[in-house]
Amino acid sequence: MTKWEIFKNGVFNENPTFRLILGMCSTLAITTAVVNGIGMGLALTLVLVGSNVIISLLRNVIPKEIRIPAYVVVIATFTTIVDKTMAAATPDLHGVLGIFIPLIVVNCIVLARAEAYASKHNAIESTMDGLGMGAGYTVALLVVCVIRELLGTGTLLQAKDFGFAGFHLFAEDMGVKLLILPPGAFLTLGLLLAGINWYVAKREEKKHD
Amino acid sequence: MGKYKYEWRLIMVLTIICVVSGGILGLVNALTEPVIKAQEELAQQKALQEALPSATVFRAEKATLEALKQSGSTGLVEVYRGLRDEQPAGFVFIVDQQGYASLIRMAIGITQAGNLAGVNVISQSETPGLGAKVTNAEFLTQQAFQEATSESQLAVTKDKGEVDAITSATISSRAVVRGVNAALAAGHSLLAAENEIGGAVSD
Repeated sequence: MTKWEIFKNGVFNENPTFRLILGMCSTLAITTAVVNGIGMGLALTLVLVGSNVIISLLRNVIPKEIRIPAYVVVIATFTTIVDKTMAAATPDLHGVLGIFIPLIVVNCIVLARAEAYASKHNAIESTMDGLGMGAGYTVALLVVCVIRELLGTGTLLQAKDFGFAGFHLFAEDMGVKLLILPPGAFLTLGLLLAGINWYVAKREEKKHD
Repeated sequence: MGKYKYEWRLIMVLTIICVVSGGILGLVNALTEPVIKAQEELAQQKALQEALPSATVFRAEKATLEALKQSGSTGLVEVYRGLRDEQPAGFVFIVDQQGYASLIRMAIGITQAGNLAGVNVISQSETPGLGAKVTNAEFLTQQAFQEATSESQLAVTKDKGEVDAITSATISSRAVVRGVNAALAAGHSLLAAENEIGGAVSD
């Protein structure tokens, strides 16, 4: 696979959220506003690229019996670095994402890529895989965020904590409140997954005909 | 040692990884901690200023806080004395109240004359689009709050009070009202105590 194909694989064929169904808890929890999606996506991408590179470089040094604790330490280190840096540089965004940044440690996407990809490929390929998976996760979050924020509140990109009012597309009272609430996350994600699976199945069928 | 060579290797590798990680984290912490502290102080100062615009200097009053807690005031986290030109300008109370989905922390200012000076929500994780609207200016600067004095006991309209709650977020609105009431009551007792001594005592 070329570098570009590795990247594309993360966004489309093996999109962590829509195709591998990994990292669901953060996807369901933070997708109430587009700003949260951007922040969370960037944070996860940073951790993923960092841990992928280090784990790939250490892949011949780490004996297989202790690979899981070693991976978790590396991932936890990167997560803490991102967490601290965000708290210092963007306290408002850090306040919004709060608990979800430390939870990147146990985000299955990061550990899955360490185990399934970075431990078997070189650093450059692992970087591309991290970028691709991170981008795939971010894109997936944004799709869910846009649907929930737009239909739920009638705004887009609202970021009050940053003093940005966002785009108001229709009156807030017209929004479907349910979409902002937790059930809205399940409904949106469920319908999106159903749609994507239907599309993929149809494409596969065509290939076989 | 020769017998357990491989096992020793496992221990060494994991130890080295942990030590290196620990070192890096220590470095990152040393670099970011002062910045985070400064930012928290800045945010705190801003919250106090918004709650009590007439004061310029705020001084934490730990003894007063303990005394208020003893007398049964609930949810109080911190008490600040607001000063302007060395003269007392009122109090700011930091209060926590349980909302619908989270603890709502607010700063509530009371002027020396006993009027509610301002309500400022510092942190909350209420439902976006519903309870999170307690941070909106339309809610926090409504007439009922502007007219409140340290003798008022507020309630939302649903509870036959005067505060217009946020549509479909009565629980979050009630939490803010509870916080305001706690601050008003605390302010009332502090101001009454001061006036008894003669009003000239600033501390």
